[in-house]
Amino acid sequence: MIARADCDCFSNLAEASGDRALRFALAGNPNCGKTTLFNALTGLRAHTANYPGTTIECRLGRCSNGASDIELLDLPGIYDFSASSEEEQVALNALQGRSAEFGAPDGVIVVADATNLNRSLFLISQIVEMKLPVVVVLNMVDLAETGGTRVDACKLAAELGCPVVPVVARNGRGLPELRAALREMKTPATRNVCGGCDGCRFRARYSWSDAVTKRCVEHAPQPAGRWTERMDHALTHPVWGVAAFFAVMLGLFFLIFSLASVPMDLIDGLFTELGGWVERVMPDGDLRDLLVKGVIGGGGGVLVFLPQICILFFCISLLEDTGYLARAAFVMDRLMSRVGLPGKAFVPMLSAHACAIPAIMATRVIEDKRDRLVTILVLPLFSCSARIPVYSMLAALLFADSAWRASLVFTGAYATGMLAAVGVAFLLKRTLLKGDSRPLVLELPSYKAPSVRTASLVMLDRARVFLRRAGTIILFISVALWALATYPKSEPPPEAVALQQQAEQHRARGATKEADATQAQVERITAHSALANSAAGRLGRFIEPALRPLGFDWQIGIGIISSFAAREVIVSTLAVVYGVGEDVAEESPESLYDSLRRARRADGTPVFTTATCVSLLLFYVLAMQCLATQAITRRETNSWKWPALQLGYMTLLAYGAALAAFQLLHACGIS
Amino acid sequence: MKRPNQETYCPSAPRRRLNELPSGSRGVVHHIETAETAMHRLMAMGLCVGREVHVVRQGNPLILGLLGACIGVSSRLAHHVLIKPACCGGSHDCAC
Ligand SMILES: Nc1nc2c(ncn2[C@@H]2O[C@H](COP(=O)(O)OP(=O)(O)O)[C@@H](O)[C@H]2O)c(=O)[nH]1
Ligand SMILES: [Mg+2]
Repeated sequence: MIARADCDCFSNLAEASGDRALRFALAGNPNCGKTTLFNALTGLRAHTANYPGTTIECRLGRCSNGASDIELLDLPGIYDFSASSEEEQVALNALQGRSAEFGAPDGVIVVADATNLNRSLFLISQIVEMKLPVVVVLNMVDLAETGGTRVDACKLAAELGCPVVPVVARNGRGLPELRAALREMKTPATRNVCGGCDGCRFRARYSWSDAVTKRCVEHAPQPAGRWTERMDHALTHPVWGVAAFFAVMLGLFFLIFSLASVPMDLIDGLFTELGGWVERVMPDGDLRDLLVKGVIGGGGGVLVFLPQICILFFCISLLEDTGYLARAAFVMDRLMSRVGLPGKAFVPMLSAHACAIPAIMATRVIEDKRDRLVTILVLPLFSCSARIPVYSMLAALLFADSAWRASLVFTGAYATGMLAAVGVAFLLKRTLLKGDSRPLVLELPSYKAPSVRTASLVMLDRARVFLRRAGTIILFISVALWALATYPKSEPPPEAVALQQQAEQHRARGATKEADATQAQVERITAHSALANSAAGRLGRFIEPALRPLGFDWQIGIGIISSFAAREVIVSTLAVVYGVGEDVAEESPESLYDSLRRARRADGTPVFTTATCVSLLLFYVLAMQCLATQAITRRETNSWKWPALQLGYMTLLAYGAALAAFQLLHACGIS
Repeated sequence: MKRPNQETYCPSAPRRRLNELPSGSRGVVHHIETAETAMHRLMAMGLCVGREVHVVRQGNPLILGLLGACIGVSSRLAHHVLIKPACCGGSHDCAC
């Protein structure tokens, strides 16, 4: 059975108890190879959900031990069971069967790191005390062997009173033996390691781990890898480490934007083709319009982001696997703690430059609740890729003839977003979400070759979550906005009717070329007047008084409203409201920019003056115009309060900045 | 390489804070002053009164060697850990 797409893992487990699949929990320290083992055992038959009421992810998968079906539950990586953090609480509840939806597991698979048995034994000693059947998986024996460490599995099994199976999760060595061991699990004889815990309450446990390690591990000291040591020294250096961090991030961005452009163009082209095909085969009418503009347009709008998101998560997973991401969080911690945020917040901030939605999902790595909230609140200020078409348009309007000045517009927009995010985070940490950031305690795992398999699985998983969460919302909104822009219907204006007659006369005379030109003009005028008289047009006029101080007219107002589906929609909306025609705008953006430059207000002055462009740019950098992001914020914070705050402060910020910029430029006589 | 084990530490050696030890030095944890959550995490990673800790790199954050793993720790947190420095077995710089 493959898990349903949208259910909680616990309801799944409850269901499974009917067909008597065995339930095993997978426990272990972070970085001991749990995810790798989980993937090796379950493959694609796994899915990710949240522990109920928390944002802690749990992964649930199926495998078989040859005799019966097994459901595997991946617990969060933990160091002990004292329940001092949410993860530990969740893991403890799951193991003890205390969570209402989840019965006690039939057994626990504990993953131990063979290269550092001593550390793993600390957790193992606590798990064997829980009176559950246990199998200890001695993972990474390949790395231990090359490092000169030999762990005697038989001795260890005797010490612990439970089976110990050496495996290499990376290449599947030892997995058949593990499956066999899962058939005959039994509860180890109870022992209480922590007899007379004095002083430090962990001390007896550590002494026990030391003693067991001494008896079971043979260590032939090998010359330590000099180059890894030296590399690590550089990567954690206060100066070189930060430089390396920025180099890696720059490389990552380059990869995202250069590699993703090919599939993005492909998807874009495909959806345009599809829209064109539907237009050809279906009769003219509202249904066709809905399909082409609402459904196909909206669907394309969702899917174009997918390549970037896939590449982003693939690369981040690779970086995490190598052990570099922990170093990056380490060097960034000092810089970020000035703002009051933990070093780990840089991963979501990085992701936010592709799209705020996966970035908000990535904030789960941040342990402290307040730190996490602050990060979520400021993430939409980073320039996501939906803003790029808007920046391109405005850069072209501002500096048509100078490529390098246009690129300054881009740089300025990105920098403004980052500065605003940092500033707001700083303020939030000092007012609403007061408190020191949690001091860093972060394991720096040893460097390893990354696993493409793990990265691919992460990528697929994230893509699925994005499509499910954001896709449905964006699709819904684009259909709703299509309706707003289409209804109520209005008669074509008299001007269009007159031109239409002219076109027919041309055609009757056989002058096809002129007829087509006039016909196109008719369509432009009709589309323009239909939009102006629609609900969206009326809304645009209604909010115009509020927008006038920013230098916007009601047509830009329609553009801003339409941006709620996705920011880049303003470009095609402006093409319609300023009467260029969408098709022309798509074929050559230059013609759109030209006619926008020529657009005039009622009094004959140009609409897109320098002041208006700068004001609009600032507005798009700072405004919260993405309902999908709001929905994700709601889901990740479990309350409407935070998305409301996000919308409120960002709107104020955007309005204030645009107002200040426009009035200032106007006062200086720049227009 | 001869590593000092727990018995060779000197009971009367002066206490120092973990964030003041030089890079590469070792010491035994004498006292932990705070019970905050982050400290608890550090204790579960091997920082424990009476056990040895290795400062791999001093700074903020600093890197500790605990139970054979490297752990990055805020200087602010390390400040709350008092250390008995290693006793060098009677040579000149021993404080006892
Ligand atoms: N050489 C080797 N590497 C492994 C093995 N198992 C896991 N790894 C690597 O160890 C790192 C951490 O693994 P992961 O599964 O993410 O650990 P988790 O944090 O417990 O989920 C990754 O780079 C894996 O590729 C193994 O058996 N041999
Ligand atoms: Mg993992």
